Amino acid sequence: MWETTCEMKMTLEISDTLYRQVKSKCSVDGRPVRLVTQQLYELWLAGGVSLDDFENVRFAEKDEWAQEWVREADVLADEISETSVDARLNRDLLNDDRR
Amino acid sequence: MTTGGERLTIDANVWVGALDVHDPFFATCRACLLKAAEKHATLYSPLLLLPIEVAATIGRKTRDPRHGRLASRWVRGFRGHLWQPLSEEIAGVAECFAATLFLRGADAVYVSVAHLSDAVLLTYDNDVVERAAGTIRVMTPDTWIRS
Repeated sequence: MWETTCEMKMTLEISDTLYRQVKSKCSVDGRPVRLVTQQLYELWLAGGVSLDDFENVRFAEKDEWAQEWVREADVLADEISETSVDARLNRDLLNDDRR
Repeated sequence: MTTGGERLTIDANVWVGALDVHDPFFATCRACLLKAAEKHATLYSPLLLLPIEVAATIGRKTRDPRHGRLASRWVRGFRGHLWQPLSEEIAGVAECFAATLFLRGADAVYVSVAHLSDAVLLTYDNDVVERAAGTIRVMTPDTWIRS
């Protein structure tokens, strides 16, 4: 018996910063981005992920101060990433300095 | 200054994590800080430690003095800080915690500030979470966000 499977291809437009975070976490967890994306959709459809949990995002969207703080943080984080001369994570660098 | 309901001390590792797009906890660090702002939490922050640690980490990461200064200014610009100078009292309690809880110097100062301010310490340092848990309220940002 022949079974035919059909897999859709889709294109998403997301910010560079978000994609880098996703790739970084996928790399640490050892999971392909494609698999994580698919599993998150499945979890959401099954009711396992509530988008209403993102209160912080909604807060950032409506609060002028928070918007400016996030914008400033994004610019700074991108500049730090581009000019970094040390491969360690910021947290690891800080931790090593404390030792 | 009017103090909000929630009292927090946030370790420098959360602040520098929020500036590292390669950090798996980047989004959580950002969400934690935004949640603190949303709740109008009062941040009991060690003046002689937090901005300096952030400036040092980012300065050493980029070897660009401008970025170190911008990062510490970004931390100082966050609303809700109630800066804690390194007083005789804070130093004395930090000394005691360093000796009895086997903490490193900087960690003992954060624990001391949180203890004397009756604040929850948020940190990604598991050693601190484990060793200080019996003395102060301490947890990771992930746990606090879910609480």
